[in-house]
This record gives sequence, structure tokens and C-alpha cells, in this order.
Amino acid sequence: MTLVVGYAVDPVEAAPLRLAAALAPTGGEDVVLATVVPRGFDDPRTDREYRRFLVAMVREAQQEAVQDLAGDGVPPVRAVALEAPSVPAGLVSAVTRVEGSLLVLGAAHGSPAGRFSTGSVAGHLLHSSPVPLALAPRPWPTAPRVERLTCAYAGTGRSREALAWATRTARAWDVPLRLVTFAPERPPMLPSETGLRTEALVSAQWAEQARAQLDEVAAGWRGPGPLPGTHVAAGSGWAGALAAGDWLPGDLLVVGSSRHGPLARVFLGSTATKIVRASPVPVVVVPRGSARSHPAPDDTPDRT
Amino acid sequence: MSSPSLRAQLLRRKPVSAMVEETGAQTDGGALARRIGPVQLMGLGIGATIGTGIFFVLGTAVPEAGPAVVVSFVLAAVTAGSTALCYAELASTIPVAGSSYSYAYATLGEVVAYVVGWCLVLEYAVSAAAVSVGWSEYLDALLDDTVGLRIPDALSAAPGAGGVVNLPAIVLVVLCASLLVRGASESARANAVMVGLKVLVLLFFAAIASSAFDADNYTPFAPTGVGGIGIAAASIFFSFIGLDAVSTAGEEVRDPRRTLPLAIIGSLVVVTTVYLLVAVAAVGAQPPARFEGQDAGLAAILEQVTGSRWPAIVLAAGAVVSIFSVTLVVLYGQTRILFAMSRDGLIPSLFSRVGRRTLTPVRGTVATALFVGVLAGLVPLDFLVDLTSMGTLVAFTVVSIGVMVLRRTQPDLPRGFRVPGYPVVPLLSIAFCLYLVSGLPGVTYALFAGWLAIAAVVYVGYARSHSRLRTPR
Repeated sequence: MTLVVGYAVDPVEAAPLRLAAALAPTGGEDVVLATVVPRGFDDPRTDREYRRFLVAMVREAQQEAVQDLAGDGVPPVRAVALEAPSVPAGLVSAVTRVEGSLLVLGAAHGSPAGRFSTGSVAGHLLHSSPVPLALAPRPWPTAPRVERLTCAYAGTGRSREALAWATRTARAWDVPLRLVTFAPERPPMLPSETGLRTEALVSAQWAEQARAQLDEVAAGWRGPGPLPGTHVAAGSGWAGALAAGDWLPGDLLVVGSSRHGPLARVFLGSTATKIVRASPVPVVVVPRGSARSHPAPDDTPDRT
Repeated sequence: MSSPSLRAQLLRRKPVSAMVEETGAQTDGGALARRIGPVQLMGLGIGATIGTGIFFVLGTAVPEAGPAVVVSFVLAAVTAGSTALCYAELASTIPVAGSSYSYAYATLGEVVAYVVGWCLVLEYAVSAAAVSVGWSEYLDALLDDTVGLRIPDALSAAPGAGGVVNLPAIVLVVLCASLLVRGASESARANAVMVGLKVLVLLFFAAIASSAFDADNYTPFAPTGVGGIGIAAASIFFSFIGLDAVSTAGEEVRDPRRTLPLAIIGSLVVVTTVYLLVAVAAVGAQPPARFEGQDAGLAAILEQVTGSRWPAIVLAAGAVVSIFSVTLVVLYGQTRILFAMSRDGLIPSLFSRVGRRTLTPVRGTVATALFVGVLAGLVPLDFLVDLTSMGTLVAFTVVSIGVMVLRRTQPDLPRGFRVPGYPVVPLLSIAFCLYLVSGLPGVTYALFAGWLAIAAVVYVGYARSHSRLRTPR
């Protein structure tokens, strides 16, 4: 599996490097460090000085990062720099060029400790990336390698796709798989004439439905890999539900996301964004269709 | 399995422990747990109350009572206050939050809860329909005054009111339902903003309308006598619905013994004062005869008083925004009450199925919106208002009786809050409710009887055999 690490040099981010280092022992035969630089003028004479400066700066920062990764025991890393009109576009073309199968990104600046907050780059790619996206919350309980995949499962089409990816990947990485459904309790509508805990009832009902769904998946399990464990994580709001996830150090959460246009993203928000924002462990987001077009190396036929 | 006797079945109560298990499991984690003080609680009460009826209820009430409609407001306020106090006692006996349906189920038995539940459909679904009809009047006024666009009568009034279908009202219901399906909700801050907006808009009306105050409009004061005052009060009661938002929040309130009555009386005083200012100014501004059939009444009065359009535009815009938020809240309440009834197995499971994508009761919301939309599109406003008052008054009567029954049958039940002046207040509450009910027209009785008949059929055909109390999981 080829990991493409989206690496910004100004300011330097350590989170994507840490996540890449954690993913490499299980999933990174091949790690590519990709830095996107702004596209210059068509006539190179106009900004030759600036470009020279930029190239030197990127090269220096990338060298440091490569050594840093080597220190973590990551096999030889390639570094590429691409010119592109925007960072997401540049990362997508990097992924296509090196046939990457997972794009590793850092957290946006200013996110609270231990939480990922989607910056404009990740926020854009969350619903449009051609390959799954690994997102690093800034400091997270670091583990030297991935010990378990936890797949968020809600019974929707997108979570079945995430499950298909997680199943294959757990097998390829030789780690156990677990299914979890989140049952967040919303705040009630105010003023509420049905009491302030109405939503607890809705969340309890969803937890019941979720348990039945997970049992169904387990009953129909045909592998590959052993029967996954299941868990319903209920709590107050998405933060509470995610906190109730029974996490291990080395857990990696896998979430599906639907393909939304920019307008829908702004006005509806998305479950994937909410989960990513509240997750205490690194997250792999599988945008719809992304797992199918770039299958894992030892792919088994898709079952969805 | 032998079937229990019908009597035992009708009277079986839902164990409080089961309710705690359902909703109390995360009490410590609840964002609002025990954090609500008297001021926020009053905010909830005022927010839930203002906006339901005041924007259009004068059009039906003034023709009944004449200028004495002012007295009708006080009568309705006293009724609302005493019922809210009784409601608060019932709510405080159950250590979880819910609606009067769930309190009745835990204390008074299945059949009472079931009837209360069906009355609440009148209080919520039918009032949501009524409110959206009122909204369509103000939207029409706003469009007319700003861009000169008039929605044709055929598309903006129900068949009984000179049209074919009330399209704007249906649009509002669909809009609110789609927001609810998405899981949108109003926060405490949004509520505070809405409260401010509604009160300001109504005070703005009172200030401008009173500039044209003419004492002659107040004579004769009560052309229809005491009877007319009662009849008008029954319709006006509609605009006091929502005060129970305070009672149901009881479990989350700091020091309920002190805070609850303070918040109930406090929000009642604020709401009644605002209403009285509006009513006094409106009646002073035009002769009683002109109220009849006046669409978007408050905006029309302003336009007539000032002769210019901008005050009417301000008022209509305020009304459109506030009624929208009220519709959202009321529709939400309805879906959650049906959710609770459905989880208890008293109505089909359709209403408690949670959608996987949005984690909201999607099908229940759609079904509720269909029902409300049909009512809003096809039934005239005064029918809806009276039916809402009927359902609410009956539900409140049951609650007040329930409080007295429980004091006798379960005197040792721990109560976080006790009605002051027992037994006078519950008795007064019952008397007031029945008096207001007696003022409702015959057709409302017929509709209500039909409604209860449907409820009885559903009980015998469905609820009796599906109740969760019968088949514990």
C-alpha cells in the first residue's frame, strides 16, 4: 500500500509524520511525502528568485522530515513537490501520479489538543478524495503501530463501503477488526415542551436498532478474517459518543463519508465531519467510491 | 399467555424504573442537567408561549366578546397559570423529564395516558397547523407590502375560508419537517433571541397602535355579556399554550420547589402583560366590528393607524420569523410525544423508527408533517384554534384531576414540587378548564368526539395487544 503524506512546510506539521510513522509498520511498503507549492507565473523570469527560494525551503523541510521518519524506522521515503492551483488539487494529482492508496493529512491549525478539526484542505477532501484519507488529531495517545481497526457502522451504504475497506485492510495489515455504532444524544429543541431529556429516548431507540444491526452483520459474517467484535457507543453529543468508544492505544477509526457538493457541506454538515472532529484516535475517512477505485493490494472481490 | 383483564390493562402503570432506564442513564452527562435557573426557565416558558396565537387570535376573539376581550385574556391567563402549577406537581413526581403523556402513564395508568396522548396530538399537531395558517396570512401581508405580490385566495386559504388550498401553510410545514429530519434544533441562545424578537415586535405594535387610541371603541364594553367573554377566552387560551414547557423542565431545574412556581408565575406575568398591551392597543385602535375576518390582523391595524407601510412591514416580518420558530418547536414536540407513545407500543412502531443517516425519527416526522400539512392546507383557522383549545383543556383537566387522585392514592410519593394552596388551585384549574371548554362551539365537540372514537378503535385494534407493558422485552 502506498501512503501519500500531505506535508505542509510552513508551518511545519508534525502530526501527519507521526501518523505516517504509525501506519507504516502495518500498511506502508511505500511512503511518499508530497508538498504542494503554489503555481507561479507562466513566464518563469517573473518570479525566478522566489521560486528558487521556495524550492530550497521545501527541499530542506522535506529532508528533515525524511530523516525524522527514518528515525522512526520508516523504510526509505520518497519526497515530491508539485505545483498546483490549490492544495487539495495538488494532493489529488500526487495521489494519482504515485498510485497512492491512502492519503495522510494533518489537523487544521488551532484544533483543540487531541482533536482533529477539519481545515479547508481536509474539509474539501473529506467528501471528494479519490482515495481514503487518514487524518491525524494533533497529539493523540501515540502508539508505535496500528493495533486494531474500528469501523464506524450505521447500516448505510457509505458505512458498508467503509466496512468493506476496513475488512480488507484489517486482513492485509493483520490486525483485528471491530464494529462500533455511535449513538449520540442530541441537545433537545428549546423551548422543549416535552422535557429536556427527550432526545435520550431517541438515542436509546437508536442504540437498540444499532445493536440489532450489528448482530445482523455478525450473524452474516463471511470474512475474510475472524468475526469482528461489536460495540454501541452512547453518550451526550458526538463528543460523548466518541468518548464512549472503548479505545485502545493503536486504534484506528474507519468512517465512510458521502459525496457532498460544497453547498451541502456548508449547510448540512456531515456525520463524517462530526465523527472526525470528536475522535480521540486517528481516523480513516472512506469517501464514497474511493475504496473501490483504488483497492488494497491483496484485494478480495467486493461484497457490498 | 393469558390475557390480563381489560380493567387491569387500562389501569396498568409504567414503572418509573423503566422510565429512568430509558432516559435517565446519562443524567450526569446531560448538557443541561440541573443547570437551569429561574431566568432561563422563564425564557423557555415565554419562548414557548408567545407566538402561538397572539398574532391572529384577536380576529376570532374580538367578534365574540367585543372590547371585553381584555377580560377574556385575564381569564385565559389564570386558567393557564393554575393548570401549569398542577402540571408541575405531576411532572415533579417522576424523576425523569417527559411530557404529560409520560407522567400520566407512570401515575394514572395506561388508558389515561393514552387519552392524554391523543389530546396532545390536538395540542401540538393541530396547533402547528393553526399556527402555519396564521403564518401564511402574515407572509401574504409581507409580500404584498414589500414587493406588491399577492398570493391568490385560491392558493392561500382553506376551502371553508374562500380558497382551495392554503399553499404557504403547507410549505411552512414541509420546511420545518425537513429541518427536523436533518436534526436541526434551536439552542437556548436561539430561544433567547427569539424571545427578544417576539416581545419587541409586540411592544412595537402596542406603542404604534396606541397612538390612535380612541376610548369610544371601548363602548359598549361587553356587548355579548359574560357568555361572550367565556367564549372568547376559550379561543384565546390557544395563545397561552406552551407554558407547560416550564413544568416539563422541572427535573433539570435547580431547587425546583422555589424555582418552578417562580418561573411559571413569572413567565405568565410577562406573557399576559405583553398580550394585554397588544389587546388594549388593538381594541383602542379600531372598532370591534372591523376585527372580523381581518387577515394578518396586527399588520393591518398598523397600516390603517399610520397610513404608511413600513410599520406593517416590520410587524409582518417579525411575525413571519417568530411563527416559523414556533411551528418548528411545536412540530418537534409532536414528533417526540408520538415517539414516546410508539416506543411504549401504543401506536405503530413507524413513529419510533430512527433513520440511519440522520439519527432522527424520519418516518414519524414525515407522517406527522403529512397530517399537519393536510390540516393546514384544508381546514380554516378558527376550527383549528378551537380544536387545539379543546384538546389542551381536556389534557390539562386530566392532569389537574390526576394531581388530586395521586394525593389520595399515593400520598407518600416523593414530590419535588407541590401545588401551593391545595386543593383550591387544582379545583380552580379544573373549574376554569371546564368553563372554557363550555365556551367552545358544538362542531368542536363533534370533532373531538370523533377524534376520541378513532383513538378508541386504535386502542382496541392495536395498542391493547402491542403495549410494551404486556410483552416486556
